Amino acid sequence: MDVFNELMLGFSHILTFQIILYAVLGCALGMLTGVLPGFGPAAATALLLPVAFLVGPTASIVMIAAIYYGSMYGGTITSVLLNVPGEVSSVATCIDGYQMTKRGQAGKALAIAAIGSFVGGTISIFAMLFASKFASLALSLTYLDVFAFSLLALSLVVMLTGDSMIKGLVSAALGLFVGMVGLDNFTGVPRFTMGSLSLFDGINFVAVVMGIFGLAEILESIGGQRVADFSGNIGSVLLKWRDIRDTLGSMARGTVIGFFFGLVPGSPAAACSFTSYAVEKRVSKTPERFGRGAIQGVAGPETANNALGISNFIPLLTLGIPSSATMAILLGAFVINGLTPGPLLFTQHPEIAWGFIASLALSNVILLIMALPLVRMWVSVLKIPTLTLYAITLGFMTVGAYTVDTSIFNVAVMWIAGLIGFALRRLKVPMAPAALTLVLGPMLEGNFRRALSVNHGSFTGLFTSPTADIAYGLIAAIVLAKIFGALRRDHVVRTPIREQPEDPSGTEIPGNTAGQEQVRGGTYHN
Amino acid sequence: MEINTQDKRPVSLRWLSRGLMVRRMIRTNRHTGDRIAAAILLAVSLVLLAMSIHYQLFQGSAPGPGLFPAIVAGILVLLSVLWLITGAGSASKSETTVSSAHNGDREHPERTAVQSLAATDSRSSVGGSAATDVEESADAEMVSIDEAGARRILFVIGWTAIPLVFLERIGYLLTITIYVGGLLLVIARTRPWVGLLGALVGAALTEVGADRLGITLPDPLGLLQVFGL
Repeated sequence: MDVFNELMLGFSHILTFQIILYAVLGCALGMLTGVLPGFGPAAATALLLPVAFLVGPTASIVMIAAIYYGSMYGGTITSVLLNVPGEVSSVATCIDGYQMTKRGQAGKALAIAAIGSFVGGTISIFAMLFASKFASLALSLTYLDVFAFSLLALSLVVMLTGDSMIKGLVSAALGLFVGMVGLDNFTGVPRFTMGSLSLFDGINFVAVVMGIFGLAEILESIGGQRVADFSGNIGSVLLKWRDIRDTLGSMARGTVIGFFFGLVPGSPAAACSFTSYAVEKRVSKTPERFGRGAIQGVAGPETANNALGISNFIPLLTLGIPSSATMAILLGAFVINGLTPGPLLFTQHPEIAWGFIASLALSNVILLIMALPLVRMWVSVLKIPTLTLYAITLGFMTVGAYTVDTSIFNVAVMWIAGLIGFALRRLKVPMAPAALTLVLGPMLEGNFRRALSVNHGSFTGLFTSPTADIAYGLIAAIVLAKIFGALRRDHVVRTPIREQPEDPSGTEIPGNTAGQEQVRGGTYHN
Repeated sequence: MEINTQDKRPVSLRWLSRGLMVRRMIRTNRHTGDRIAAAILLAVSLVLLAMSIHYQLFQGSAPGPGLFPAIVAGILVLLSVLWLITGAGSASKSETTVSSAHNGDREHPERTAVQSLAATDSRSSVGGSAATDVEESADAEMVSIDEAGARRILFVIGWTAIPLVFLERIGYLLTITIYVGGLLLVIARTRPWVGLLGALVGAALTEVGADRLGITLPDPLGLLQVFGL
């Protein structure tokens, strides 16, 4: 019962009119940003960070959680209506969601996505309540263990994202360097400041993430002229009992899959949603309907996505280690508010820690309430020309970066980060490792130097903890697995595509039948 | 990787030949952009390494402020050399992955998605984590940029000089009106009066809103007071 008492403490901390209002605003802004084609939760959260900092620590953390939720659902809207996933994890939703849109059942697809997200999110929050008790175990970890676990999380993210391990590591190293700019925490020596006083306090985290995630995405979209318009009919958002009955199992399975995928740092969200999709297809009595608008094909992946989104918080809240780019941005938001996620947060600021978990539950409810009645409003946003939306967003970003600490310097930082981020994206360098090291860098360096200092400068000091040694062993195993995996995959790539079966499960590709049915959904041009 | 049962060579030799084939393949797929980026990164990381060493690696027996950066810079030098040599395996292998849902089959994007699912589906039963291949292209989801697109990007970058130079000199209202108005006219191709008027109204509303929230936006000309806002 302790857990529920503590959750109640959290609710009592956040259930004020003002904070609920900020949560509603956060959800709405998140959805609005998530609806921008190509914008996923990382970009949306990064873009809206300055807004959240205007409202004080508790409200800002509640608002960021709401923005995160809203942007995830915003991505679902574009996946279903336009076949444009906000992030790669929504691709699985596109398959059947867009087919449902073509049949005039977009409303139904969006409704089941909202309900699935709610179910997956709620059950995962309950599971998270119990997992949060393990935070006390983390208190027994030494700084060396935390260093090793941070490296392990980073290795997982580097290995699981991007085309190449080298590029992932380059991204991580660049993030570390950006985090090192400014006065050294131990000695006060200015590092990499080029003599500029503006850099003595370091490079502003918000400006950098706005640049590498938000601005880089906008530049890419403007260059590619992603023009998305939806002129179809979304149909009714009301579900029949049969729809609910048909998808209950999908939601249950999606929740389990998503929750366990989210526990592993760096766990690819796309793998989670595609696993859910594959499982649904396998257990279905009518697998031939998948790819042609099966409602289970939307319910499963969407539920899994949201369950993953919640369980992703567990490593962050219990160990203080972010498991994805979005979590790194959220960790940055905590740090800027003077809070350090991890085991100490539950003992030092229980009202914030439990308030945050309560705010996730609150956002879950708000999202469900807002998603369906307002779906037509979000659809109307899609009728505004995309380039107009981007032009307006650039204006808001300029103001946002300026208001971080009322300095034009941060606008310049955002643009420099954005241009570098854009160039790196074009080179297929993943940005998630950079976001992680940007936040984890100072902690990594601090623990590294502490270990060496204690052992009189000897590097053997890094290997004095058995727990840390296990983590190093896992890192070595992950690296080796990645190298062998790359060798295997390169062999597969060399095999001409025409020699591969089109679909081993025997499902017809729906595109083959296109033209036989009238397309009533959205369109996507480049 | 399927094991060729016809191959009678020892396992070690088979792996060696596969390694050589992969290396050959990577060489042929090197991208000029990758090589340029790797060369720039190499130069930057060497500078960073030199700067780090200058900050002192050790102070007595304790690590100095330059030790950690020097290690990271050293790793970066190594990585950039590897990137330069191998092209970082940047071979375009995204034909069967989700990023091509944007670039490839525009008329039937679901086909690409189903193909990637099929690939995921078939391999996940073997490797368990093969689905990660889908995620691997997530970060680098690519949109092809044509000449007109490049011009738009260059305009946006150049036009950013407006807020950088004028925001604190002539204030938020005028700067953002010119900045967003210009973007609307050139990028979004709105009608001039719609673009400029929309930008002006939007800038005025946000400035007033920010003022009510206690956020001070630069207004050296006192325009808010002039307009009685």
